[in-house]
Amino acid sequence: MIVPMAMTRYHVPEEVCDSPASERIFDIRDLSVTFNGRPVLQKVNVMALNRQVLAIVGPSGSGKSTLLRTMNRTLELTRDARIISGDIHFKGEQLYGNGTDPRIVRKRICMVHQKPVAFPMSIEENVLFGVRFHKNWNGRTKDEIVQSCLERVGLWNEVKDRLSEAASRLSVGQLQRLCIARALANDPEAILMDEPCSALDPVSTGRIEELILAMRPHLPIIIVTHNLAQARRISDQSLFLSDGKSLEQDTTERIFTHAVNERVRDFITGKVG
Amino acid sequence: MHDAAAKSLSANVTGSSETYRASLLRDRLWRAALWFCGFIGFLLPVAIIGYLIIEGLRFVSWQFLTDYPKGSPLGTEGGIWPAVEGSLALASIGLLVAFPLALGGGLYLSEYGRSQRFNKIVRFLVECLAAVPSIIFGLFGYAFLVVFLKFGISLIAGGLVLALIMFPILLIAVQESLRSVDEAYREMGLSLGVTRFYLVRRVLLRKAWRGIVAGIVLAVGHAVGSAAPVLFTASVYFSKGGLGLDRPVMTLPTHLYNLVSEAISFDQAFGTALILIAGLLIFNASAMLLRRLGGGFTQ
Ligand SMILES: Nc1ncnc2c1ncn2[C@@H]1O[C@H](COP(=O)(O)OP(=O)(O)OP(=O)(O)O)[C@@H](O)[C@H]1O
Ligand SMILES: [Mg+2]
Repeated sequence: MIVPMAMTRYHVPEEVCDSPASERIFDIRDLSVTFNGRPVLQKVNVMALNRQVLAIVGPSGSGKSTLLRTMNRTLELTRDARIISGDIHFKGEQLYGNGTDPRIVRKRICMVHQKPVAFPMSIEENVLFGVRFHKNWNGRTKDEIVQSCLERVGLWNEVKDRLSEAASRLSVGQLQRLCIARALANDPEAILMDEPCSALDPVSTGRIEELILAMRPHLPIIIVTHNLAQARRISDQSLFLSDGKSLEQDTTERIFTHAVNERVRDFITGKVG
Repeated sequence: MHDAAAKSLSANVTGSSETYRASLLRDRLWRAALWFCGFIGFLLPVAIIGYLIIEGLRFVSWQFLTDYPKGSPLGTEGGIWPAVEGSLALASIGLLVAFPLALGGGLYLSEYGRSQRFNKIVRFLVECLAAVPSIIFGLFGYAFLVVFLKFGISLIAGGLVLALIMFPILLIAVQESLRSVDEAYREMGLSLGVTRFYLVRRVLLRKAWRGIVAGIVLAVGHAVGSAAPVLFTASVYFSKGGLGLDRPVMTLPTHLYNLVSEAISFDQAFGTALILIAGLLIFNASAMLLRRLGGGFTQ
């Protein structure tokens, strides 16, 4: 079924379109973005559902990171970037509505980046970085928050004896999990991940993937990945982006077996890079 | 057989063994030349400090440090305490005034300034200011602070002139060391929904700390060591010690200048120079320590 919103030859499966509004975490319509006046996203449509992992795949430079950064309002930190049209709804709210504080949006929708970065403080303080600002203690002590966040990312046993050591001493794989713990400490309502495994070895990658699957029931996750096998392993829905256009979104199974769009098929079967 | 194979291999790789040997030789010469240049960088400070120690150490004593100049002509005997005290006070006032301003300015230019053009203009002017010879600052201080504002030749006038000299050096150091902090820290910090102020305070300043301390060392060394800026604004030929913002002071560089230019006592001059250098070295060393301490988590 071709939905009405598709001006481009964009295809969204029936069950997604028919899903009740309450299940739609992100509903992005006709989003266009320019860098210095050069179009980078053109009429992009995305629909992300609750309790699902949405993978965004596509060639390099197709605008995947840009799309992700519009979804928690971090794109506007880049001077040259402009959103020129489109609507982004998060849980039915306008993300770019008048009077919406971008910092609140960023607290509610977290981002995990490609290259993990340790802030110049202890492991414990890294986890508490956002909490100390947002004050979302909710009756918990700092030790409780640190422990529960580190446990959720499977780092607690590795670091519980060295919480006050500098976080920069961790390995890259541990650091990426620390970054996820730091994001979780904000009590986010959704997590965006931009190629979170591309700096990691296969074992660390496996741990992050397990973590994503473990978080899925509570937190919607949107992940950009270059690794098609990974998208296949962990995502429920896949969105294919090419040259700033969303060509097709479908269940991962169908995208990978019989995509409607020819270019998507070619990319997935490896005919084009 | 083996040998022939090895020969033909190296011949294949390097063309001929003649040119190979020539390029090896060139590499050795190049290394020797660079080593020599590096060695000058080591030799020069060691030689200067060594010379000062040989010539000056004999005259440095507890009394030399704590007494005021005596004798006739004044300065042939006694000590240099008023000059030590004066230089310390001037440097402290200068740093106290210049550092907060430079920190704010550097932070603005690096983290907040949205207009590229404004940033470039300010940066250009600050660089010009840093290149102005210190005697000009002295002249300005005399005309504006001492005469026009009627501060008189005083500790405060000299301290403000030193602040003027330190300000551009400090501002450039702050801005540069903030700019060298990887963009990923800002991206990641701000994506957690915190304000820029919180990010600056908790992450960026810590990452930039080392560079900022290096800037302080440079600025203080530059300001304390020069006689020109305080010559007409703060310093007197003789004082028995004691400080007051509205009163003039003795300073180490001007005292040194007087001792030598009027041929009063070369022995005392070498002692004074040694104290000045030793003071700066101690300051540098403690700044290095501060870098380590403050930098426990800065990598
Ligand atoms: N700060 C910027 N200024 C100007 N152009 C930019 C900027 N950031 C990204 N772009 C451009 O926007 C386009 C999309 O970039 P984006 O990073 O979103 O692609 P991507 O799909 O994430 O690529 P990759 O897979 O390599 O990460 C690219 O053509 C890129 O050159
Ligand atoms: Mg990207």
